Amino acid sequence: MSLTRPQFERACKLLLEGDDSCTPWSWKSHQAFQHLGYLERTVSIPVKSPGNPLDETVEILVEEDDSAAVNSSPNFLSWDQYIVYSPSFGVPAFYFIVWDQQGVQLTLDQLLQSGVFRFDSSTKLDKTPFGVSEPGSAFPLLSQGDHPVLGIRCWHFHPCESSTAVDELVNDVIIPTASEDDRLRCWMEMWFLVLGSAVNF
Amino acid sequence: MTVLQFAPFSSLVQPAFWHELTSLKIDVLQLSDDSVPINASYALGKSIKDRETGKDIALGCNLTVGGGSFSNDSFQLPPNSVRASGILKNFNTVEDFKASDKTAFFNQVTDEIWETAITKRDPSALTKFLVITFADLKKYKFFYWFAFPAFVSKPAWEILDPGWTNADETFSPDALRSIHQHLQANPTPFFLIKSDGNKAEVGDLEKYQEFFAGVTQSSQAIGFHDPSGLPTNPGWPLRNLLAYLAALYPNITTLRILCWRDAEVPSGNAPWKSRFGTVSLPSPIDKSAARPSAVGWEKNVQGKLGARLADLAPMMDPSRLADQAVDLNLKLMRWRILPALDLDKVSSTKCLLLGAGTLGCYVARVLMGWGVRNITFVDSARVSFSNPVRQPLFEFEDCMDGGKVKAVCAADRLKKIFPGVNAVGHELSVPMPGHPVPPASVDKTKKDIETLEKLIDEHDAIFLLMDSRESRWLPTVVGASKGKIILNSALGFDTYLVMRHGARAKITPAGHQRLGCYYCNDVVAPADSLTDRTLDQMCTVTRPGLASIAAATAVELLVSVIQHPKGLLAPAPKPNTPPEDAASEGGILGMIPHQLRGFLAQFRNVPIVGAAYDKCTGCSETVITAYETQGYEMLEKAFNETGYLEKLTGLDKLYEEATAVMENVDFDEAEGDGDDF
Repeated sequence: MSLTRPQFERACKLLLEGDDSCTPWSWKSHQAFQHLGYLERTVSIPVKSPGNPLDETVEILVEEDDSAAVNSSPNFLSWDQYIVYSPSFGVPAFYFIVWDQQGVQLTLDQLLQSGVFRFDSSTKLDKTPFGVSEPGSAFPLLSQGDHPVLGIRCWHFHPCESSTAVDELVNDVIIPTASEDDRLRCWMEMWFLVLGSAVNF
Repeated sequence: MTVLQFAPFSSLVQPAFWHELTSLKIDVLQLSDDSVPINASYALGKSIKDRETGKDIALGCNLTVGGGSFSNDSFQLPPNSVRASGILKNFNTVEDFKASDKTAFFNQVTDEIWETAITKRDPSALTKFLVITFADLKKYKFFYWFAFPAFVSKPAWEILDPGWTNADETFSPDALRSIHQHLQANPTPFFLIKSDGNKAEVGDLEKYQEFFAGVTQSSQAIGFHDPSGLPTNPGWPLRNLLAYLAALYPNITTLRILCWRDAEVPSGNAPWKSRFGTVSLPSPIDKSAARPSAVGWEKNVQGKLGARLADLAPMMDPSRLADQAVDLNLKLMRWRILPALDLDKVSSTKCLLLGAGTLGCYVARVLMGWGVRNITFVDSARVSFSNPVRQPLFEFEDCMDGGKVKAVCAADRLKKIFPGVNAVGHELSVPMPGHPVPPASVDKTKKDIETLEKLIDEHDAIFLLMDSRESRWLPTVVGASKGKIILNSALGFDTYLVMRHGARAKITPAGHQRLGCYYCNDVVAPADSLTDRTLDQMCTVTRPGLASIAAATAVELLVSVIQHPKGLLAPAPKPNTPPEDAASEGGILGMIPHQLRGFLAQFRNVPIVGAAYDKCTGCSETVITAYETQGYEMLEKAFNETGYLEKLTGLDKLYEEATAVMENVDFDEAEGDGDDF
C-alpha cells in the first residue's frame, strides 16, 4: 500500500495524538509551501567516551579559583530525527543527523558507536525477526541525501523496501473493515516497528 | 549550611551555526574583527533515563546557538526556552585568535553587564555572554571559546538546610499550576512570586519593591528559568540574579529561590521537577570594588581553560564526503549480504599493476570499486591514438604531442575519479629474456631492475598485465622470491587467461600441493617473441569486450584470495569438482581457482589446476635461489644468453633425453598379417 501526501499528513497527525514517548514529535512544514510537512524531534544521547582531543593547544587562561561552580560536564549527542514523505515511493522515510555539542556531525564510524543503530560493525546480522517474506537485507539501505524540505544533508534509510515489509505486518493485524484512520494509524505503528529493528528509538 | 554551587553553562552549537558564521565572514565581516551581536537560548533543565543503567542523567546546562543566532529576524525561540544576548568576535588568523587579549574583552563585556543591570536596573543583561571565534575556511575548522560572565560573591552564598527540595513540598499543585500558566504565556528568565503556599502570583523582577510591598518574607520567592538538570545545583543564571539583588537591595541576606524546571504540568502522580531552597549570605557583601570580579570562561572538552575546536572537515570537505560515500557503499554490502567479508583487508592491499593498457585500466577501475587505496602503474609507453577507446583511463587529449606517459597519466586519471586514492605511475621498461641488454644500457637496466624490485617489495599484490610473454618473467621471479600474490592475465583474440601464481617451494608447507606459475607448463624458456611479428600479432588484437572480462575476473580472483585465511597458499579446487561444491569449499566469496581459461566464442570459463613444475624457468627454487645469490649477474645471463635458463634448470637435459627417446623408437613395418584396426 502506498500513501498519498494527504494520507501521510493525516497518519502523522494521528500519530501525534497518541504520542506518549519521552521526547514527543512535532509537525513542521516548509515556510512557503505549507503542504510540504514532516515530523521532527531531537533526542539527546548520552556519550560514554570523552570528546575529541585538541591537537593544537591554545593558550590556557588563568581564572580566579571558583569554588562555586560544579565540575560536571556531561557529554551528549543530539539526534535530530525527521519523518518525511517520499513521493517516489509513496511511503514515509526516516531522515536523521547526529551531532555533538560542538556542532560537528558524526562520521559513519562514530555513528556506529553512538548507539543509534541496533548493531555495530562487529556484530553479525540475523534476518529480521518479523518473518518478512522478502529475502536478505536485515539492515536497511543506509544512504546520505538531502532532506526533502529543509535541504540539509542527512542520513536516511532508502524507502524502497519499506512498503512490502510494513504491508505484511499490517495485514496480519488489521481487519478488512477497519476505518481509514485506523488503517493509517496501524500502518504508521508497523512502520515504526520495522524501523525499530534497525534503529534504537 | 553549605556553599551554594551552580551548574555552569555549557555551550551547545548547532551545525547550522557554523554554516552561518562562514557566510557571515565571507559576505559581511570579511577581514573585520568587529563584534557582532548574537542570540542564544536556554531551555528548562531536564534529565533522561540511561537505557543501560536505568539511572537519571541530567542533561547539560546548555546555552544553545544555531543558524538563526545571527539575525533577529531568523532567530526562533524553541519551546520552553528564553533568550540570551551575546557578542561574537571573529578573528582572521589563528595567531590573532590565540594572542587576543581575552581578559580585556571579558572585562569589557562584564562592565557592560554591570552597567546595564545595576546602574540602569535592567535584568535582561544578566545572561549576556561572549564568544571568540576563528574560522579556517580552507580546512573547515572552527576555533571557538565561550564565556558566561558571572559575578563572584564574597562571601559566597550558602544554601540553608535542608538544601534543595522538590517544589511541591513548598508550593501546592494549584500554586505551581498558576506559575506554569503565567510562564507559558510570558516566558521570562527571572520573576517574582508572591505565595502563601496554596495560591501564587507571579510578578516582574524590575518591580521588586512594589510587588513585595507589605508581603511577609515567608511569602516572597524569587524564581528563575533554570537550565540545570542537577537536583542539587541550580543553573548559572542564578549567580548573576543573586548579584543583582544583593547590589540593588543591600538589606537582603536571605532569599527563597524557586528553580523553575517544569515545561509541562506533570500528569497523574508524577512529581514536579522544579526545585526550591533558601539561600543566604553569612555576612554582608564586600563592596570595596566598583564591581565584583567575575568568572565564566568555558572549560574545553579536556576540562581545561582553553579554546574548543570544531572540525567539520569529515562532513564538509568534498573529498572526505566522497571517501565516506564509497566506504558506506562497501559497508552496506557487508552488512546486508556478507557480514564475514573483511573489507579492510581488501582496501589495504597495495596493488602494483605492471602494464597500463587495456588490462591495466580495467583492473585499476575494479580495484577502486573494491575500495583499494594504493595503486601503482608501471608502463614504458605513451598514450597513442588507438588507446582511449579500449583503455578507459585515457582521453583523446592525452594522445597529443606525442602522447602522455601512460603510467603517470593513468595514475592522474584515477585521482580525478576518486581523490582519496594514492595512485602513482612509473615510466619503466621491464627487461626480458631473449632481449639482450646492450652494454651502453647496462647501468640503466640495473637501475630499472632495482626500481622494479623495490616496487614489488612495497606492494602486496602484483598484476602482470603486459603485452608479451617474456616480459612477465622477471616480475615472476622477483615476486616469487618475495612471496607476493601474483595475478597474471593474458589475452588472445577471443580467449583469455587469468591465473594466480602459486607460492615458492620454500614457503609451501609439507604435504601442500604447490600451484604453478605462468611458465610451469613450458618446456622452453621464454624467448624473443616480439621481433618479426606481424602488426596484428604485435598489437595483440583482441575482441574489445575481452579485456574488461579478464581484468574484472582477475580482480575478483585477487579479492577471493585475500578473503581466504591462507591467502597466497589458498588451495585450488580439485579437478572435476562440481562448481557448487567448489564454491562452498573455497571461501566466503566462493571458489578460488588456480587458473581460468575463458572462451568468448562459447561464453565459457574453464577452471584449471596446474601443478608447479620443479624445473620451471620462472618459479623453481633453482632459478629463484640463483637470482637471490647472484643478482644482476644471473639476470643478465637470462636476458642475453640463449639457453641459459634451460641449462640452469636442467630443462636442456630433459630435452636431450626426450629427443633421444624419440630417435630410439623403432618405427618398423609391422611383420606378419597386418590387422587393420
